[in-house]
Amino acid sequence: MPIRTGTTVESTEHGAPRTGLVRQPVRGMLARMESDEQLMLRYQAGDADAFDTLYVKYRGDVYRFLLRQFEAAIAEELYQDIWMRLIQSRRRYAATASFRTYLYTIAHNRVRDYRRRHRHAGAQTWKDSGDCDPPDPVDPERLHHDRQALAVLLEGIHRLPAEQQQVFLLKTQSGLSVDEIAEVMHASRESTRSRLRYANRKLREHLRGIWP
Amino acid sequence: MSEDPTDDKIVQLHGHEDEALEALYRQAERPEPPARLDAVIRQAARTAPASHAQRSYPWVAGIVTSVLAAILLYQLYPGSLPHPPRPAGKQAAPSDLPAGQTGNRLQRSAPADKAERAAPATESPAPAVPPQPHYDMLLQEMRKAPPAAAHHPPLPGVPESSTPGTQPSQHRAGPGTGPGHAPEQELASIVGLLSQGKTAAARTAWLAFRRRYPGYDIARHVPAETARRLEALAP
Repeated sequence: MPIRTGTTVESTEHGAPRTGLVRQPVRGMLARMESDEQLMLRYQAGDADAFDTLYVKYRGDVYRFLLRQFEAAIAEELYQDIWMRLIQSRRRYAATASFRTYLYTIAHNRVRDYRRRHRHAGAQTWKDSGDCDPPDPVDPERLHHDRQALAVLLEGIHRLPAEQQQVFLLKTQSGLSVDEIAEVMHASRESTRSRLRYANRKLREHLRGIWP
Repeated sequence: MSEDPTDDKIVQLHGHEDEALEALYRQAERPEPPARLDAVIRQAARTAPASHAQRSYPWVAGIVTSVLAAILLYQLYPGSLPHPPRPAGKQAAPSDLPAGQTGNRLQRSAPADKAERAAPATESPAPAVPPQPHYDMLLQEMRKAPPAAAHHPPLPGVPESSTPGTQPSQHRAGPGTGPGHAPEQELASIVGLLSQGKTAAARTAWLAFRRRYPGYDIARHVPAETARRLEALAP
C-alpha cells in the first residue's frame, strides 16, 4: 500500500525509489536527487518531510525483514520500535555512516535484544552447526509450482538460525552488501560470508527435490 | 565459524544457485506495514523535532524572564529585597526583628548608617553591604566627591521619574530629617535636571529647595563644581 505523502517516492524491494504518485513533482524530484544521508541530516535539522521520504523508501523492506523472522504481531511491534528508535536517535546520526546501514543496525540490535529476552519462546530453528536436519516431508506433486517452492523457502528461512537468517534477509531482502551486513551485525566480513554461505546451503537442501 | 579454504570454490559453484534462490525469494509476496503503524511513526517523526524545540525554548525563556523580572523588581523596590546576612552579633536580621522594628531599621538615620558602614571594616573582612539602587549610588557619589574638584562631569543620568515622592523610604532620612523631608533626594533631583539641561526646571526646584532648607550646606553633599552651578541658578 503506497503512502501518499506528497512525494514521488515509493518503496521498492531494495530501497531504490521508483516513480509513483505525483503530487508535488518538483519537491519529489528534489527528494529523489538527495541521498539518504542528506535526507537524514535534513530530518536531523527538523525537516519532517525528509523523514517521510526515507520512511516511504524503507518501510517495506524493514517490515518484510522482520516479518520473515517473526509472526506478524511481533514483527509489527519490532517495526514500530525500530522506527521510534531511529527518530529518537536522529541527533546522534553522523553523515559518515550510511543511512541504510544505520537503520539496519538499529533493526538488528532490536531483533537481537528481542531474541535474547525471548530465547525460549522462539520458533523451532535448525541447529547452528552447519548440518541440516532433513526437511519435513513434502508431497512432490504439490510443489511443482514456484509458489509452492516459495512457501517452502519461506518456511526454510524461518527455521534458519538467527544469525544466518538475518544475513540472508539483509542480503536478499534488503540488498545490503556483505560489508554492510558485517557492519550492521558487528561481525567480520569472513564470518558474515560464512553465515551467508551456510544459510544458502541449508535453504538449497531444504528445497532439494522440489526446486528448481 | 571459521573460513574454509574451499569457500571461494563453493561460492563459485553455488553462485548461480544462490542467485536462483534469491530470484525465487523475490517472487514472494511483499507485505507492507499496516497503515496504523505508518500513521503512528510518521506522527512521531513530525512531532519529535518540534517537541525538542519546545523543550529548550521555554526553559531558556523562563530563565531570561525570571532574571529580567528580578532586575526590574530590584530597580523598582530595592528595599523590599532580602538583605544579605550581617555579621553575627552586630544586628539582628530583619526576619529576627519584630515587625515594627524592621521598618525602623530601614529608616535609620544617615549618621547611623555612616557609622555602621565604617565599623564593619574592623569586624569583618567582607561585610555584606545591601545592594544600592542607582539613585542611591548617585547620592553616595555626591557625598564622596572632593569639595575642591576643579571639574565635575555631568552626573550619571537620573531617571526623570525619580521625584522625591517615589524614592525608597531609607533615603528619606538624613540631615533635617522629619516626616516628608528628603533634602538629599531633592538635591539629587535638581542636579539631575541640571545635568539634563533642564535649567528652568532646575532653577524652580532649586529655589524651592533653598526656601525649605535655608541652612542646608550643599557643599557637604555635592562636588564643588556642582554646588557652584546650583548657586549660579539663583544667586
